[in-house]
Amino acid sequence: MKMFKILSSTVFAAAVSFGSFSSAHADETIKIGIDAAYKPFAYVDANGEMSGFEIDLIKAVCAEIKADCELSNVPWDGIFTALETGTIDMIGTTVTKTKVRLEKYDASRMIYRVGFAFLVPKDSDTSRGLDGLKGQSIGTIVGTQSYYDYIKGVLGADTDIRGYDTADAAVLDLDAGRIAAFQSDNLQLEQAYVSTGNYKLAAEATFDPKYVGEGRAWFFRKGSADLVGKIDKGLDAVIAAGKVDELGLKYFNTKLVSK
Amino acid sequence: MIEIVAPYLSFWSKGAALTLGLSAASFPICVLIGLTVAFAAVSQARPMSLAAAAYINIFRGLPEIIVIFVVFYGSNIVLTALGQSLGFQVGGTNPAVAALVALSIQFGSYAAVIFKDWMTVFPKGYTEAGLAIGMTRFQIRRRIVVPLLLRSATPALGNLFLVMLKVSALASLIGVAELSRTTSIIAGSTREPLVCYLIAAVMYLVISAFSGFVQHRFEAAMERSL
Repeated sequence: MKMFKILSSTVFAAAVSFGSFSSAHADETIKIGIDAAYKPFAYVDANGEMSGFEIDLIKAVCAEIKADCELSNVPWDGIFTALETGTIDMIGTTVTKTKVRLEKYDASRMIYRVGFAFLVPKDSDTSRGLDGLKGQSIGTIVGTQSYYDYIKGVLGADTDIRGYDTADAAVLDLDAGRIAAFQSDNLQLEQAYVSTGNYKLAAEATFDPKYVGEGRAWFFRKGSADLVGKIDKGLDAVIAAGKVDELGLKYFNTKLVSK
Repeated sequence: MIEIVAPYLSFWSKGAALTLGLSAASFPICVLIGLTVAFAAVSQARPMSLAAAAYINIFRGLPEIIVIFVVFYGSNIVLTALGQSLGFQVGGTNPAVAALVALSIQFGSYAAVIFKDWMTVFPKGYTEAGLAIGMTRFQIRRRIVVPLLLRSATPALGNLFLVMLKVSALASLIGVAELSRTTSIIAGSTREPLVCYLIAAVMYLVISAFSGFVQHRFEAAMERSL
């Protein structure tokens, strides 16, 4: 019993100190939640520290507007709930600005635009481009409406779309042949999978705003105009200084479309 | 493959420690809740036994994930609302604390059923012997019933602990950086999902083997103490 007590009390102390049940916050603290499980957008290094494109950009913007930013690693599944319930004030993962989302949330200015593309194994036949994928099962990230709209738009409304929680899970099924292609954004696909040499894109990425929307931005609760204004001011300055291009080259080997 | 994930081992072991810690911290609370509710359930007072039955039926019937979500997001909403009306600022609930509370409440109902079942087969003679030498009801419970209950329920409680270890993986969904969440982060950061999840599987097995060992020692100690 004693052993149990010691074990449980030490570990409980560890658990409590792991996060902080912070009671008093300075007004200017901005609580930012980000899912750091998407290399190179945001991931953790071997020390458990968050790094990546989004992390660097957030740090640059916070430094620019001299705000005290508190970053936490929030799983994507619950990130909008976390925003709505006030656990965080801003979603630091760059999220596509869609009409549906903009009705429910406030968003920052567009940070960059990404294209949509289909990933296929390197030895598949892509001579017919996207037409070759018609009538086949396509994997994508579950709950991302713009992906579903794009797949239905280019491959037909009755396409068999399989939703996955993570890109890794989808690519495992792509390897296993359960899906013919995995649809996601071109930056992630090229960085993470095409670069390995085992995969290729079925066709050139689409940048058509009809599908890719108004680019990606950070999201806030409705009625956060003050905070959005502050962040936008910081973003304007940071983008004008060429920071996004610099980070794009660093993390994606390409300049990002931020207009 | 291993070289890519190897540098993450210390980050990983923190997650494993939190998984073990979460369950180890929550378990004594759930046993305490279980005992209290079991006594309430067999109580003569009708409101008490009804309340206990309601608690058991509600939490035994709810999926763990819903309890975790409700406790975490619900407590955030309540704290924020309270904070706004009372004029103080709250940082929000710590996900680890929310998971601890949710697991304790939920598993308390399972523990309650285990204890309640043992109480129904508890030999009347012990209680009567206690009464015969003038012990109060409370003394009988504290000195006879509870020790014997804990002892006979140890195997079932050990099982419950293992279930809790695995269910605690759901805490990853509210952002507790325990073993599962750490693994998905590392999988996303190294792009070696299969290796990462295999390593996590081994870690879970090591943790449960360790818990099995502790349980074994605990049972042996109980045996000697009689």
